Amino acid sequence: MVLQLFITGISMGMLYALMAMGLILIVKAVGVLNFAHGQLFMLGAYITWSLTNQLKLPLWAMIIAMIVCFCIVGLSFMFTVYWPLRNSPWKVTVVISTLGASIALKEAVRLIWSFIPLLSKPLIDKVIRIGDAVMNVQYIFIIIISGALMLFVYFLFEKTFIGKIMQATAQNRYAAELIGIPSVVAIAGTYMISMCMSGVGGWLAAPLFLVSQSLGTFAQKAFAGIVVGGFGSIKGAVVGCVLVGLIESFSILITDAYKDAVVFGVLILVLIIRPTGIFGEKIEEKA
Amino acid sequence: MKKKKILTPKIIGKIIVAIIIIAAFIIIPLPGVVSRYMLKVYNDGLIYFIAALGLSVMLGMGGQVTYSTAGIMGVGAYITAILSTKYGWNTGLAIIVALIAGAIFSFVVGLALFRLKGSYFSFASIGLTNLLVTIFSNWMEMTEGPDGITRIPKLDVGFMKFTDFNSYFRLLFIIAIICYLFVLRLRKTSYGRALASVRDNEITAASFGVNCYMTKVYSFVIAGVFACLAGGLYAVHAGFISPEPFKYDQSAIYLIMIMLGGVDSTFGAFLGASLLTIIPEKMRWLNEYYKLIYGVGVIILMIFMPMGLMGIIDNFKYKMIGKIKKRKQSNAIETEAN
Amino acid sequence: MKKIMILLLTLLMVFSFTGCNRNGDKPGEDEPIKIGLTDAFTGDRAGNGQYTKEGVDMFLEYINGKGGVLGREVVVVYEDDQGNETAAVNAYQKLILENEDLTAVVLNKYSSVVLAMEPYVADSKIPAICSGSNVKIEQSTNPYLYSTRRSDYGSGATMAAFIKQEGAKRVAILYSPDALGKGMSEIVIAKLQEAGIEVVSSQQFSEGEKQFANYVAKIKESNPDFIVCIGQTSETGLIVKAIYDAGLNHIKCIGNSAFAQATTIEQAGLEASEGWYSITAFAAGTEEEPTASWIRSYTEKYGHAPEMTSVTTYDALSMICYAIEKANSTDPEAVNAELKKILNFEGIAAVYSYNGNPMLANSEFVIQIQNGKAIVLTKVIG
Repeated sequence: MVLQLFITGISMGMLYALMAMGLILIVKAVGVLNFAHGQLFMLGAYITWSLTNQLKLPLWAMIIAMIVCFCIVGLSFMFTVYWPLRNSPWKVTVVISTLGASIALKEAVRLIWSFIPLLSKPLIDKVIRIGDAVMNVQYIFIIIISGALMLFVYFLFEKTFIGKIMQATAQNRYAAELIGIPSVVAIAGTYMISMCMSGVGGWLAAPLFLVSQSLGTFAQKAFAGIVVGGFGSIKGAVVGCVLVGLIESFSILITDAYKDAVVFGVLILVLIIRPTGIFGEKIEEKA
Repeated sequence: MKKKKILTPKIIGKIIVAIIIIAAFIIIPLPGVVSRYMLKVYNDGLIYFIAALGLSVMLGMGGQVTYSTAGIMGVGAYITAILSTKYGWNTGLAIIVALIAGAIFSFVVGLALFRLKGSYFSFASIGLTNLLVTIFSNWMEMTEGPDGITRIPKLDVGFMKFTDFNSYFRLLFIIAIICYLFVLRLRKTSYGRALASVRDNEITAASFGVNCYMTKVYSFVIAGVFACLAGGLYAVHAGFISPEPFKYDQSAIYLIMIMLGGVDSTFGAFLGASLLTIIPEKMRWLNEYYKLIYGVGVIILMIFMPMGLMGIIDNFKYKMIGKIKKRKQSNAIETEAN
Repeated sequence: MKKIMILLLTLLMVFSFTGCNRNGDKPGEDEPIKIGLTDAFTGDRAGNGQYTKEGVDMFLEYINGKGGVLGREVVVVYEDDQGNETAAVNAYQKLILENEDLTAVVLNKYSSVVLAMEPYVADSKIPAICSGSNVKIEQSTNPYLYSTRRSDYGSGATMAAFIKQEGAKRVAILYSPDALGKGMSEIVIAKLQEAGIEVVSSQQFSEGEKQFANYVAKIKESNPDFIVCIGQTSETGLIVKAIYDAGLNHIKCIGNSAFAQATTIEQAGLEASEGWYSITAFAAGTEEEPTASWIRSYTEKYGHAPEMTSVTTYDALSMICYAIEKANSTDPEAVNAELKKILNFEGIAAVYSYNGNPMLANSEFVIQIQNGKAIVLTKVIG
């Protein structure tokens, strides 16, 4: 059974990590948390469901269409929710704006697709046995794709020019603009990549958990993972999320009903003992 | 000889406000004036207002974004409910115990959470609320889990029993006014100023000798007590509680209330709470689309009115004063020229 | 200046809301008969609301096609209770306070929601028929509360008897964290232990849970020869699938009524749901009349099979209208008195009688899912 718990933990953890990566990108780019992130994840699941089941596109076409859709969504999201508020002195306004967006998105999805949970087929509808444990093949896809995306983002941000531009804008928008970097483009790019990541996460998670509006609640575990792993870094987000997945999974040994309490309790403990998380940067204060 | 004016415009203004308030207090609960259902909605609005006041102290005065309001309200509600249903305590006593427990709880939790700054603190407050909700939903023996606690006795303080919405309205109205005056007064005390300085610039405040850490903790305690009070009143008013109204989503609504009314203003908390409780009821005819419009409305609100309704009103006021001054000036110049 | 603004705003608010007093006149001879209904039309359980509405529409078409009741049209007033207790309490109060001429109310199937509303039903003195099955509903002394179901006590006992009949020795239980899960599991466990059968594992899953692999792993560890699951249709599909994925579906599995519904079968898939047993008030694959014909016309009209709530709502409305006719009045007290006299009323899902407690039905089916359909094995009465 320990093996099964381990496998479930890692699988769920990588799913949370996929969401968290998208979230961290936005945090680094604009400095505030995006509370609509869970809804973006959910939206990804619905959009891909429609592309596959209503437009009946073959897989390769669907992937292209999916990425295009996500980019459009990411752009619109940025321009409506963040861009008008980018110069506001009160950071709270951006946070509240994303809260409003999360409510609006959830309702919009309900109006378009109705509230009945939709069925989605996994990429390969099989289950593999590893000894005593059981794992959906879909999880393997999740792990591989998460890993690939993580490498892609690392490569993009660290090695390419475009990535450097985006990093610069994220660190100090004013200075970047002085140098001549069009911050609109950089931030838009960040939002699009972030949306793609969460959207893909939604697409992959849908066959396992049904396409429904409650998919948004996964974001809470992703938040926890980011904090545990360290607020500033992608590496931290991934490690933190995997840890959260494992803790959630293994907590069943102690309790059945209080699973969530254990996770959030650990979150608070980590925050108290080591606020920067495992990999986080030191929080600096400037006068 | 100069006559001393007793009836300055300011005093006249205050008298008028007092008359309105007394009128509302007397008229609204009279049978037939408003439908029973709307009276219940007003009562709910007053309860949310009390919770929002606590948040206004933390956010408006202290600049700390917290998602803990709903969770701690739940603590107050559950303590009141459990004491009065499971252990048969008098409800008034139960609420008082809830307040004390809430204060202690907020103090201890505040000590822990304020070791974190800014967004980290907000995160932790989300974790706190989620943790509390998980306990409410799963500690079956005490809280009955998702089914909630039913048949919570009505408020009974020995000499007075509150049984229907009318009497609750009067009670809540009075409590709300007391809390409101308290917060208003708080702004003017040295603690209030210290808190504001922490909001504006923590390092400078520290350099002036303000103990930022404890100041923030005290603000959390104040918010916690208000939230517990609101929770206890909610429990006896509704007669039924479940983990649902104390979830993280509800905390977000309190934040929106404060932002809607005006983050900088205490009256704004009242505006935000009442509008956000009453408008959804009026918007029912929108049916399917109302939540969507609500969400979009919040975004638009932040873009165009980041300082909330009171912000708009203040702007308007300054503009008017500016215009009046200009006119006075041009009049003065004219009379001089003549 | 600021004070004047505050004053104006307060005036505005006070006066804009005083105009919403609703007057409830006693309906005249030509006014429609109003029956209230609360169900989940938004939120996680909203699928239930849709089936309920379809049941209502079918009934209204039928009854108003016959000229209504007492010559008056029957109208249903809806309120959304979002499937959770707090919203339900608010919805019920809104329904009652805003409509002063309701004859009766139909509530939904979620026992915990119904139990939360129960004190208000007692206060309002308007008869309410729900379809919840929790023992607390059965034990309620509220003279205005009824249910179109048999209580969990009966279902639980039937379940345990069936398990014993199948010769099981080790049983694992997984149940939901609400009145249904807690209540029914308690009864089943007690009855099993009475029969000398060992309960090797008992787990309560978290609210809103979607990931059941670990619970199933624990079940697997405990090596049972029969698995019992109790939940609501929002998670039953996932549970069935998780058990199948873990390779446990060679073990006999039985669930409460939610496991027999079409939604569950669809979500879990044909292979996963094959062979599952269930104790349910309603099985869409039944051949009994008048149920089978009703199911056929429903399917024809809506393009999909009905769920339990469609049928219990239809029956609840039937009984209310029958009581109104018998009482020759829409006065809630008179209707309530007639409801208490119901004996062998032939509904679509069951034959209903009032026997001194709120539960009006006393029969259920033991079904097995074969090839995606719920096939009736036996009918249990009493």
